[in-house]
Amino acid sequence: MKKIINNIDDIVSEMVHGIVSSYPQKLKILPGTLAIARNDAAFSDDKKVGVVSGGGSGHEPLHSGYVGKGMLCAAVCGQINTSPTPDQIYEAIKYADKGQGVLLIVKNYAGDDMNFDMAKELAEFDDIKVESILVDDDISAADDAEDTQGKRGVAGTVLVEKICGAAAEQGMELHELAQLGQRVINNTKTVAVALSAATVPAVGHPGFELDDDQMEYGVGIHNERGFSTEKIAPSKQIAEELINKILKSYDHNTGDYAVLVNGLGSTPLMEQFVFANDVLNLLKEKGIKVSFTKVGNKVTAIDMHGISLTLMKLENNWIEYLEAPTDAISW
Amino acid sequence: MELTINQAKKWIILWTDYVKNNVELLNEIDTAIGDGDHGTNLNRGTQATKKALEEEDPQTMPLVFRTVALTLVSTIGGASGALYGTAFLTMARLVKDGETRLEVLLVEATKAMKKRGKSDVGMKTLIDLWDPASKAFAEHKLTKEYINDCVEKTKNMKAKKGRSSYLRERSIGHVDPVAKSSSYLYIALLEVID
Repeated sequence: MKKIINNIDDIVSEMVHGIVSSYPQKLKILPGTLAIARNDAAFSDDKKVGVVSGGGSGHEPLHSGYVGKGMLCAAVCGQINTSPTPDQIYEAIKYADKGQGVLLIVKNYAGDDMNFDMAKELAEFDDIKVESILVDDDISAADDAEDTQGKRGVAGTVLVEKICGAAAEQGMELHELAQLGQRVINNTKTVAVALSAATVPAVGHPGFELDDDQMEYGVGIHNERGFSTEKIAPSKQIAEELINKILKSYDHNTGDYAVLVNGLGSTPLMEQFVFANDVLNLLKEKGIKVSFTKVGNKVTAIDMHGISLTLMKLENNWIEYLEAPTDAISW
Repeated sequence: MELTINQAKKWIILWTDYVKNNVELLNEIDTAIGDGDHGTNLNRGTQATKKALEEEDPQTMPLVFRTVALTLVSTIGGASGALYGTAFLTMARLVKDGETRLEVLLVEATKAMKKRGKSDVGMKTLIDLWDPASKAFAEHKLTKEYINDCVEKTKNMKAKKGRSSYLRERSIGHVDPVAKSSSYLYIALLEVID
């Protein structure tokens, strides 16, 4: 294992300090935590609903890169692939609350769900209004979701954070914001494919092995295995496979869509745009209207080589929320 | 039955010693169906708890359980931190409200963890240790052998909660690491009240 690090135990703390030292006008660390929060002048005068997220580290720029006016007020960084703790989430909630309450955007994993739930209880005990939404856009685990923890929260999370952040910035109240977030989640579907697994620093080797000519469909962002291992195929064929799986999961395919092509950590942008080209051409052939496209490393799995495709069926004025300006460093 | 404050502290510290002496074993068990770090994470939390109990030296029963709960929850992280924290926070609340019967505390802690984790018996989680063990304790039938049997029974279960649930059939054949670490808590309890 080769990594540009000092000590494995210090990675998350040093990363968090590196982020805020790089953008001190925009970001700060909440004392005693590894939570990154807005530090801009506009935030201190805000009287808006706070939007807070967080989760295990290793998925950068999620969530810390999305802190800023128009997206998140704070993001709590847990250890690598490990949920942050309730005391730290609670500090982020307190910081984000301007009297209008706080929306928690949580990815659907047992650890995140429970720790954010405990933080919510702590906040409610102090009379802070909190609502939370669970992102579960990964449809690769949909077939037997009853028998597992359920569908996982993956790349689509960034779109949920953008829309909710923009709506909060425009003054939407807490309950309405939570309902909007849930509708966005229901309309967002993701599937990923990996060419090689991620190496968790403390483990020191890839989470699973694939042969040089193999790829795996349906992987998660913590090296969760997928639903099938296949021979590596041309980008066009992978795009066709992922698009078909996602389109099938909607009741009908009318209307406008947003597309997110997401690199999982070690995928060159060159490959991501080759894949995006295929995705957009195929969608056009199928008569699917795409109104918004984003390409890049938005929700990663450390150094996994792979790509995920997210489609979101747009409703109402969601496109305006997606296109609204934000100060977040990584949107 | 009721614990004295000293027994309660001794119980927890004995548990932290069991965890410390079995870090490698817990990591090894967790490697099969998880990240391979349950021993390391739990030991970080239980050692911090031991330190907090020794340094803060809480003088009331609610404070003992509260100290344990808050230290565990803020130092372990992940699902196991939230679950162990929930168990001890539940016990702290109950003793504060005057419920001191240990058998009630354990049964209620189990219920609270089921609710927190949206889980139940048979899903290959710590509930498969806590549920039968707390009930056996209430019936004065809890033994070390029974505790170990409960852990062994998780081996043939298919995980339905947590990240190991995505292994589906591949989760069968290994015991649940958190059921294992919970077994030390019940074994420590038997040794303290013996």
